[in-house]
Amino acid sequence: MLTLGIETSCDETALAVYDPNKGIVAEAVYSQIDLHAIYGGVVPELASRDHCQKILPLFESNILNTININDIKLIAYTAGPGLGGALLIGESFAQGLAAALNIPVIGVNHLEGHLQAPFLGKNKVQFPLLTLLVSGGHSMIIDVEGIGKYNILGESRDDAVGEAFDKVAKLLDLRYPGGPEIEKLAKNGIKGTHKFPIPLSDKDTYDMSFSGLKTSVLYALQDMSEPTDQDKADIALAFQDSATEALAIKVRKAMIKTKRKLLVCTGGVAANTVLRSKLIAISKEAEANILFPELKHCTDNAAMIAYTGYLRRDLASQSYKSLVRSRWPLKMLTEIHG
Amino acid sequence: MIIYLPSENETHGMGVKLANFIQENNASLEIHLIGDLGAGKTTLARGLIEGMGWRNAVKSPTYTLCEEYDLDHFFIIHCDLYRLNTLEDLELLDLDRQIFKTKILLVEWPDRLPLVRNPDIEMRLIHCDKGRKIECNVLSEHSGLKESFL
Repeated sequence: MLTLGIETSCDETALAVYDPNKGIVAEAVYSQIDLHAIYGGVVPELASRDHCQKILPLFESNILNTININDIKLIAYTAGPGLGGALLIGESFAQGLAAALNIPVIGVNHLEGHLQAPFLGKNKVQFPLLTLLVSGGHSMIIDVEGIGKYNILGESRDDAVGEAFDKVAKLLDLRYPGGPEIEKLAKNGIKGTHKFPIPLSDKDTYDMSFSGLKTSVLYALQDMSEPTDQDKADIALAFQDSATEALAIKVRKAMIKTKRKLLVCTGGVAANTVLRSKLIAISKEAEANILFPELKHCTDNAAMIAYTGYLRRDLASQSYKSLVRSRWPLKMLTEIHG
Repeated sequence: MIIYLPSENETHGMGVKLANFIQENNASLEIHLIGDLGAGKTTLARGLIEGMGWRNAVKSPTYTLCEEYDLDHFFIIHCDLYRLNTLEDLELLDLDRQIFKTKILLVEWPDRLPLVRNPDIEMRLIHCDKGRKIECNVLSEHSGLKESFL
């Protein structure tokens, strides 16, 4: 039984096929953004991102070359959260194809997809676990007890951390995506030249804030008349230290509180090596394992949607009414036992 | 009209003032927020959205392009055009959709595109020492809108 997954919640048009016996058997993303752009910072070619124009050719040339259309028994698509118009294209394609094949469809929550993504890899993963989701659009710490049992412990109150990296990169005249550029530049930085505050670090909350950090960088730059390359490297280093420390402080706190034995870090910012080493240290302190899923399953992808749709197949139906919602909090999801 | 905002608090407060005006007058407004990175566009938007009664996080719409807030009597669309390249892209956001509530439209980076829209207020945020200067252009005829800032 194959499940086709469809993801169109924002910039990417993605399709994937999940086989419960073999895992992901086909996968395709239409994007000019290469893997280096996983920080989500690239200004995408939005004119050509018309999901409408891309989805059918992608399906025909990249999915149907691998599988037989009649083997698809379920279609899962992202129903939210995301851009209403973009989601509707995925839903219409899903429902049209399902009607033609006379099979059920299921609308999947995009965030739940991200939380299930670690199960797509080769490593054996078991609930419960603690997930840090860090990308251009999200910064969240979520306690995952099981399917549908998600407790958001904390999230960014303003900018996502990936967004902070990109905006600071812009202030430093670096290219998009900002994450790798800042990491590279920071290697030349001298420690202790600047110190940027970490908002909310001493507060009794798991929430984070990155907007003020960006402003601190701006002020540091304004204080210099002509920042040299060394000045910029020093700022990049101090910024990277503060941003990753802001995440680490809250993750450490969450690991102590929840006593989870598995820490998962997903999203494009998971590629940052400074963040990685801080999280590895935290997992050691907590005597827990740590998992960084494959990068292609960290960013927006359809494999996680196909898999999550398969998990929730009992809720699939052939009624084809619209389930699209641009706002869809995780806490509205039902639990699945077993 | 130029107003000086010495700190983030005042920028946020400016948004709250606007929210008060909107609630008192049940005014459907389109507000354009113009200014550089870190100028306080999202802070002002946050003040407005929280001032309207939203109790959860107000996130930056830079990557999601658009964040929506469905309140009892109002529907707020907060979007960021920074990542858009063409006017065609804008259709995806469907800004002119019909909503059966009083609609508030907050547009960041409207100057990225050759927009043909008629905002009620245009706010230009400019860095000024460690604070901000805000140049406020009231373009609609909502009576009392200008006075509400002072």
